[in-house]
Amino acid sequence: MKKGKMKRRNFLKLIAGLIPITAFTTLTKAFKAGESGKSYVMVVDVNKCIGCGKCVIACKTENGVPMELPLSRTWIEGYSVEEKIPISESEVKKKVLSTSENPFLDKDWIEDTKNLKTFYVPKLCNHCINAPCVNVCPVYARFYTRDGIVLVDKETCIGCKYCIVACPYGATFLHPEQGVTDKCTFCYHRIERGLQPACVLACPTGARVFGDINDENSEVSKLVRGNKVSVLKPEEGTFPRVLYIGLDSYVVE
Amino acid sequence: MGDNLRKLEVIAGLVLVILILIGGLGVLQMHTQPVMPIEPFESAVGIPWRTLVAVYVFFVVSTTGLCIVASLGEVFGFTKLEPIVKEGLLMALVTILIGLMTIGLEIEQVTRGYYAMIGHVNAKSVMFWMIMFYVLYVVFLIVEMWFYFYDDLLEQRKSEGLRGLVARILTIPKATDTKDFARVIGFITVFTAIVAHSNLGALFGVNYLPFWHGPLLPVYFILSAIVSGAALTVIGAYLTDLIRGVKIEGERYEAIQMLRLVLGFSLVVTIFFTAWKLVVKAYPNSTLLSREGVEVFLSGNFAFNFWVMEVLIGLLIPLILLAVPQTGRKAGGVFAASLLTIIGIFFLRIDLVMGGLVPKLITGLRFPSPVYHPFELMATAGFFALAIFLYYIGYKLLPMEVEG
Repeated sequence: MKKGKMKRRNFLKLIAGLIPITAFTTLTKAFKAGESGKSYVMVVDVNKCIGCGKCVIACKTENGVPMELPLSRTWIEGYSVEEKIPISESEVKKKVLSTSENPFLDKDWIEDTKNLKTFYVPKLCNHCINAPCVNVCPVYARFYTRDGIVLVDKETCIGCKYCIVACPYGATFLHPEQGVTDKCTFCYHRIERGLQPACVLACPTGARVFGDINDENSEVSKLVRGNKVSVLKPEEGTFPRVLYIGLDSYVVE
Repeated sequence: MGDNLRKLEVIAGLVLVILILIGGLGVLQMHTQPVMPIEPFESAVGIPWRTLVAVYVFFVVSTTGLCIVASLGEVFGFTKLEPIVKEGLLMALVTILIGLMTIGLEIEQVTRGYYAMIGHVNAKSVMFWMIMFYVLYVVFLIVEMWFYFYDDLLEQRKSEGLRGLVARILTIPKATDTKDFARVIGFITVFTAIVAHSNLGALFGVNYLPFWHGPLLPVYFILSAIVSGAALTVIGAYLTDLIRGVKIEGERYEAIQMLRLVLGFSLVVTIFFTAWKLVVKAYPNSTLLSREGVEVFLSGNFAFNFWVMEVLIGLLIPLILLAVPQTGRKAGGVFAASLLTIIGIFFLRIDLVMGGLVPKLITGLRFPSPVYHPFELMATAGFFALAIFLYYIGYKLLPMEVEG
């Protein structure tokens, strides 16, 4: 009987001890974000995107994502819309470019979308300020850097895929070779050295602009001041760091 | 008769071992070959949580339910249920062990699984709390079972062979008033089980996916646990007696009739819950995402699973079998109802996990159907075979048949 009592008391102690420890580590880690005084954002001008897919190829090459698999840190969605009233009756067709093969050059796509409104929306990890993936990760493999970027610690990730489930943007995926989750880092290894992300450099029309929003003279600051910008799924309250210019209402997610 | 039973036992054992080996091969294949590329899932490919997560949810739902049902008899004074407490506890232990094993092998980095408990802790993650509570639950359950079986283990010390050895090892620590203590620990165990299980519900419910999102999902999980627990206890007790060649009568029959009541009542509540959940989420005033999320079940790729497997086989037919006196008053009728319920619950888990993820797709891409990967099906067969095998071994080694 004594033995049993001891055991039970120990378990209760274990639970009681864990709560303050975990709460403390969570808080200290969360406050690190934004410490550097920099706040990186990407501004994507939808009107400028021509759906060429150079950003996808540049990103996959730079970050070692298998080229031929349809998973990518950044991808382009091509929309064709036949508008009707009510708006929900409109016929929206969508294709995704996430490999080096460009579906928008496909004859069928060109035929199907003739005389319709078409546009391309480049997408990537939104580096949310309230990131669902950081919230749900059971092992803290997802974290905010001091400049607000959301990164994956691949040494810690256990591959439970909860982040893939939680991400409202579908921006994270399982790297088939590494067995851990992978996503856009804004090319953190490059921006640390003052370079631009690979996709930004590769874009022939300058549809993607990257920079520090806290710096008033940066190009992103000027773009945000001079344009109407919006984010994807604002109702989720994730506060994305990827801002769009000219986003159409048919882009529901 | 005895010889035939013996032969049957050997054949069944061989089949189980083969299935376990197939399951092992499936797990090995899963981790050496990429399983992912199946269907477009926004930028990511394939549905991230598939059959094995559903199997995990199935097993942990079962363990919670079995624990609740056993506790009704052991802790909460439903004396009619006492004759099935031992089977319930053993099945609860087996199902939680298999459940944890399933999820432990499902994650991509199997060797890092313990990170979630030590060193890398995110207290904001519901998954972390679920893991903590389930691990606590396993420990409590083992302690509870030890106290509950203690008196009978003392009796079993005299037996020869492995049974006696097991009893002698397990009774090395001395204890008194074990049944009272088992009751106290049993209360803590069932409390932990329910907390852990509602955490699992919250794990799905916190995500803004229409089919999951909401505060009622954890409550629904507990409800469906009671359904699973009652049905599995009936199946376990019925099959055990069938294989032993014992006719179900007396207090064991009374226990099954009590479970008929528990199962029938919880099925009725589940039917209401399911119906209103669908109506609310499919109502024209709900968001487009919510309506699309439910459409998958009403008329989309999961419609067969939902209408036939979940509603017809899992809810309506069992309820009729239980309600009609001609079948409900027979142990076999309750068993049939329980079996159908469990089949329904299994599909309910698959639909909940995979079907819930479907509306993550963007408008314009087709909704994926349920994904059953061959390796994962192999693993699933293996896990179920292992569960039966472990139950059999546990039954043979523990003092299950001694009157408590």
